[in-house]
Amino acid sequence: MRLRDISASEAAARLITGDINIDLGVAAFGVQSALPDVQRVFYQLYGDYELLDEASPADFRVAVQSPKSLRRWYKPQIHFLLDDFVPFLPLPRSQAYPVLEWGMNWCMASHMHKYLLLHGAVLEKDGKAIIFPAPPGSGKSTLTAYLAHTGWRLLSDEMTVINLETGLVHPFVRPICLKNNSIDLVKSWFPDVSISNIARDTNKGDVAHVKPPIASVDHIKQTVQVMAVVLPKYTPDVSLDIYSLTKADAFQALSDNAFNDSVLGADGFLALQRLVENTAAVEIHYNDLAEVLAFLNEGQFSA
Amino acid sequence: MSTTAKYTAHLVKLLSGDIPQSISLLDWEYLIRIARDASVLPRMAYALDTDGDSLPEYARTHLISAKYHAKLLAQQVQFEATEFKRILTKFHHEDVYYLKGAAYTLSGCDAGIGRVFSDIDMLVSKENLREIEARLSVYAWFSQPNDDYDDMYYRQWAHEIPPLKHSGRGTILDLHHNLVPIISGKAPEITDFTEGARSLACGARVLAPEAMILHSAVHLFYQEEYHHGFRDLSDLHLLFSEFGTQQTFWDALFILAQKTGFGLEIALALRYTTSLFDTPVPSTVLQKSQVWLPSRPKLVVYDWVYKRVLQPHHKLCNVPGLTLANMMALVRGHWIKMPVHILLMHTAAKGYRNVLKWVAGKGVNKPDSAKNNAPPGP
Repeated sequence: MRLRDISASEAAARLITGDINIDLGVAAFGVQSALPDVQRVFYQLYGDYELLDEASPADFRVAVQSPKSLRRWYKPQIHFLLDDFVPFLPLPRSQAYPVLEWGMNWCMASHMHKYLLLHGAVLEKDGKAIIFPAPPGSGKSTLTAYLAHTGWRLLSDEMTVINLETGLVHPFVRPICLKNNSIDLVKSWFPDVSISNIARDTNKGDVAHVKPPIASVDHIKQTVQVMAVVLPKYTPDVSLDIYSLTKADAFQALSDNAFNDSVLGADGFLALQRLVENTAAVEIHYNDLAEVLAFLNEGQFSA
Repeated sequence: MSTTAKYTAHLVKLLSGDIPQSISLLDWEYLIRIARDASVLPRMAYALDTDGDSLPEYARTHLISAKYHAKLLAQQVQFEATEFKRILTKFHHEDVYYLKGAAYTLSGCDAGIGRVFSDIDMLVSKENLREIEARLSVYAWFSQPNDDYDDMYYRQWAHEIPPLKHSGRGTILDLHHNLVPIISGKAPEITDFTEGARSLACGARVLAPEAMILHSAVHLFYQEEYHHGFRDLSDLHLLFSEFGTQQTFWDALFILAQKTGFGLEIALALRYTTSLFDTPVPSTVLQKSQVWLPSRPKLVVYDWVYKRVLQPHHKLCNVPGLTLANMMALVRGHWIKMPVHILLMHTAAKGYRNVLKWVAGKGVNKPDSAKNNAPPGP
């Protein structure tokens, strides 16, 4: 049963008690929140995902709640919980939904070490995946949203999940997190796409989340071979420049963007090494997404 | 059996490497959450066979993850010990001792396998303390930003200085000059504890087994906050089990406890490890320790409190009376550590700050530099 198979009001009631356990492929998340805006956006963005039954365990039981301080009456805040643990200081009330998404990423990065986890998007076409590792501000999420709606399958916007034994990439399909100007851009390119309301003034600026395409959600357990690593760098005055990366540079770039390579120790190093040895790697400077798309569609990477 | 007793009993079993009969996947979820909350998940992972097929994939995933964490921690403490050896050359061979988690891990004893800890505890003599602190600061170990009250509390009354943090690696170091607060009037002659200390292959020094275990017991029963009580009692269980096979160990332990005035703590440690973990302790030893136990009515209260606070505190364990027991342990923890007039002052200062937190939200007492704690993400 998918989340959208139950009504919004039933979903809200079950979110209050925490009786929503959603299958994200590599992990199951039990979600609790009594905040109506969180319930609404969650229902909007996760409608296509499978709900797990009562007997299924969740890998993480998370919640977004208002802390019980008097401050809730004059400058309300919210906090994120994993089980009973509060990993961050409270944040302004308006950021409740993004905090849920970021908190879920934190759960993975801090506790899911069966995989190598990188900060990066993954998209796939014709059975070959490209990883886009990138720090914030590189235009990665805008590029991801664009590709995910122009023929590429979204595996992940935020977190690349690599199997330590097979080297294959696992989907971790989640809503795409858009920032500032890119929210309006994506809206203008793809008017039919479902986008959450905007959370203003987060530590990343204005933020909105894009509902992932249903085809991506339907293939949430389908692993893929990685073909290439592409480091995106949005550059206002360059339409598209492509730089080939040496293996050493590619390794460094992936390692810089890894969440848990140090926790994995030697296993993390070996997983990164295998990834670099079996893929081509380029850095692209761009301002024209159509050109990037054409380049990726041709798939002519020199290893 | 109530569900409460069920999960605690399951956890005790898992920590000794046995998988309880007929536990569902949901039971596994609960047990993993309880174990993570109690900081014993990696210990449980090392006790079980995570390579074979005796475990469901769900459990294996979380246990493997916990093992990676513990392995990294063990490497880090090994690294820091090497660093300290280099930095503190002048003192290292006669006057630097690792305590608690770091000591268990560095010495490779059973209690160190999968033991997690958030800071490294080190004991040095009081006369060298200033110089060691100064020397550490040259190598980027700095006092954590605290408020003035905390600083005064540490410097005047405690047995340790405010935590030092390495500004590059973020490792926290607790530098002690005694094992219990000086203000309690019960601080032992520290040389009684350091006598017989062992040098490890890596050059680090740890206390002799009897001193290590006595400190572990004193630390547990001098606490105000028992969130890690179950883990700490599990430490004692493992330490007793490993070292208790020799009668000479028990003799040395009892002599040291008598000499330093910590008989009660050893008697309680034996009482609760044997009752919760079924620790193998010779009956003569158990019997001998009973002279240190308090009078019958007092013991009934102790049992009521400690049999609760030394269980896992997770809500899924739903220990009846835990809130009251926690409060009583908190009061006792303060009571034995501070004379009444200091205790009242301390309570007032802490209370004021809690009111501030309640009104203005968490983080209000912290200096600005400590407030930038945002979740990761794009």
